[in-house]
Amino acid sequence: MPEPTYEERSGERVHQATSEPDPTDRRQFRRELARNSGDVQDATNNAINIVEAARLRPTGQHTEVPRAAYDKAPGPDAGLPDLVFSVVATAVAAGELVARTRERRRRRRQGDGHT
Amino acid sequence: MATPEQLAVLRAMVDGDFARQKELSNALHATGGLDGYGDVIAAAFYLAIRKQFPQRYSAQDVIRLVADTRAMFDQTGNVINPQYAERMVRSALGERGLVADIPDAEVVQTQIIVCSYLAAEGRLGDPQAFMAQVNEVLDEWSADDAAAK
Repeated sequence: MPEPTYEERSGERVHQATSEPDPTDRRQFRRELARNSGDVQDATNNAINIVEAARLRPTGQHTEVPRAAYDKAPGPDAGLPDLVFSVVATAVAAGELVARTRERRRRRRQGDGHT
Repeated sequence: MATPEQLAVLRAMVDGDFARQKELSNALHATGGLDGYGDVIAAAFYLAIRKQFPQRYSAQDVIRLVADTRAMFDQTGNVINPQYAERMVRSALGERGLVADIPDAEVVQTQIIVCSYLAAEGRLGDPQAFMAQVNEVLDEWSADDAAAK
């Protein structure tokens, strides 16, 4: 049997009425939560930077990775290391193939290539 | 009094155009034009939260909203203080006396991030209509300021 959810355990939700949206209510809210001190400018910039950083973060990215790294899309030179590696690997493989072929021919000429 | 440039920053956020939001905000920051932006983002936060729960809400609703915001913008857990954020949401829904100890910078940062989450999820409704509502609230607050002088 599945575990009861939090809401099932706690019973019916207790609802509270939202206050009437009249000028008095708005005035009281303003007195408490409209903050215009000098800190506000920096806070505004901080908040906007936070929003911007999160917007650039792809969904599912591991949260331990610094946010600043998320938006670094692969640049135009991102494929270069792969390309270099691929060319070098092909050259090495071709070199090994040539060396093996020479060795086989040498053995055949010397008569010890057939066993 | 909100400036057209401040409203443009907010509009970019409401549209979910976060690159433009950043660009406009940087330009305003450089010229000191963000002075008074606290009112603009507070009005947007108030309306955005009430749009989610126009009639009623539960503790679970508030927790889930903050958790969803954190899941999108704060996977390190270092950006949004969930206690602060939940109290701010409840304050927008009409509960008073919960937020006096929250530092100004935390308030503004959380308001922007929660609004950005709701905008990104398309939960602010029609951007034009939302901005019109924000302007109405800001006009109301400007009238309060003028009356107080």
